[in-house]
Amino acid sequence: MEVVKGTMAVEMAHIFLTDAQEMLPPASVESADYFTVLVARARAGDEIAFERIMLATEQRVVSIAWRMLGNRDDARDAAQDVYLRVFKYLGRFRAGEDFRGWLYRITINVCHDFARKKGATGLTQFDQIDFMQESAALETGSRSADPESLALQEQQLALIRSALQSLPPKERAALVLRDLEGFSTEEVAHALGSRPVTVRSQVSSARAKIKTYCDKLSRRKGAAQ
Amino acid sequence: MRTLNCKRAARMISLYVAGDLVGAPEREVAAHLAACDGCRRLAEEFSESRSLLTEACASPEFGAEFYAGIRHAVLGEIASDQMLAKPSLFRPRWLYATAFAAVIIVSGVILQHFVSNRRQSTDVPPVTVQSTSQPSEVPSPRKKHEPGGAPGAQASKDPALANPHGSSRHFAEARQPDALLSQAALLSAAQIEPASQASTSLGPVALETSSQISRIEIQTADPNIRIIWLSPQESREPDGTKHDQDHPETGNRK
Repeated sequence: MEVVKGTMAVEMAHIFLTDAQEMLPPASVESADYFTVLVARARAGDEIAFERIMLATEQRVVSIAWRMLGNRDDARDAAQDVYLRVFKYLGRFRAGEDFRGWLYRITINVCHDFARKKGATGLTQFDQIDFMQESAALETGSRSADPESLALQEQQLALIRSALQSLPPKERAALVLRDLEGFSTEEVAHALGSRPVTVRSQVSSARAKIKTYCDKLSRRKGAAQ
Repeated sequence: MRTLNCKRAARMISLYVAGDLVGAPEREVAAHLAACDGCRRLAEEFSESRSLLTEACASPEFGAEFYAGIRHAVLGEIASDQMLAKPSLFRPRWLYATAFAAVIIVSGVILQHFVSNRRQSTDVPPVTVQSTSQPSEVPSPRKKHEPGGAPGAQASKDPALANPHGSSRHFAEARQPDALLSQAALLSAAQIEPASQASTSLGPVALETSSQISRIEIQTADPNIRIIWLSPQESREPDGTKHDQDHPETGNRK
């Protein structure tokens, strides 16, 4: 009975939050003050405020997790773990600190933990659904709809994603945040807890490795044609 | 502005194509690329691989249900954790803790009682009360006013006044002065009948009764301290009631 009541309360809170979220202007959602208020309320035990935090950040968290882990289910599990960890350590968050930077650092750490659990290599294959979605997206693009070309493109993209997964964890995190999530070098450094110079070095090394993979692909493509 | 060689420029091109260089380094690389065809081709390859990576890792649409599932799971987990964190006497953890604390307290009380008993038994010698009067002559104070009551039968009902050794009466071991006083008071309250064979002090504690005054002497653990209890003989009223006037006194006797 208590569980049912709790579930209903969560659903009601979700409806309320969704409505409230839509009423808020986008600028206020992105502002640091927005998170400052919500974090203060969540620390006081306000679950609705915590759900608002999730609503405002979940897409970015899931996106980072998916790019880091390359798997939809792992991304979902990692995102859950991230928010549970955020709730657990909300008391340690210092007022005035960048909440999103703190959140993304937790996300990266959780993804590292997941990759470590999966195996030392960190190589995880993107699941077939995501792969087909990507292929469908490419199909609608400027490329030809020739089945043979599509298959080659799919192979190309899969290899590039595999290349990303095969990078060392720190380089992969730096590259995902900088090139795929569009963070500035300073933001990446803050999220990773390192210096901008280190981030530049990691990003440069990661780009060189990805380029090497792409060169191999180009050579294969040229040989196939 | 210094000029870059190709080796040094190649290391900076990957940063240049993504806009990571600012100021002088950016201008140096731009100048080198303008002059070097090989490095310009390298920069194009970097740009292409970067766009390929962006294309390959474009985040798919997960859908509202996917995110709602995450929120549901997280909030449910938080709610269950908070329920578990609430202290309650009926939760097993608290129940075990309470039971453990109760066991500790009871054990402590029992141990303390046992230790104090042992200490008393080793420190103070037993004290006995002796009297020459017959047990049947010492009726129970409660039974005293009962008309027609048999004194012997009443005395035998009182375990404190029972006489296991015939003429001498051994009380339970009273090892402290307070206990001795209470024993003496008990004896005084027993309203010992004055007897012609008045008791004399035969041991550490003695009862003496005369026709006028009942005298109780109690020897404490300290040989220099003896408690003497003088109790006037009870005067019986015609209606059977009595008036007790006890005058205990203590004194030192060398």
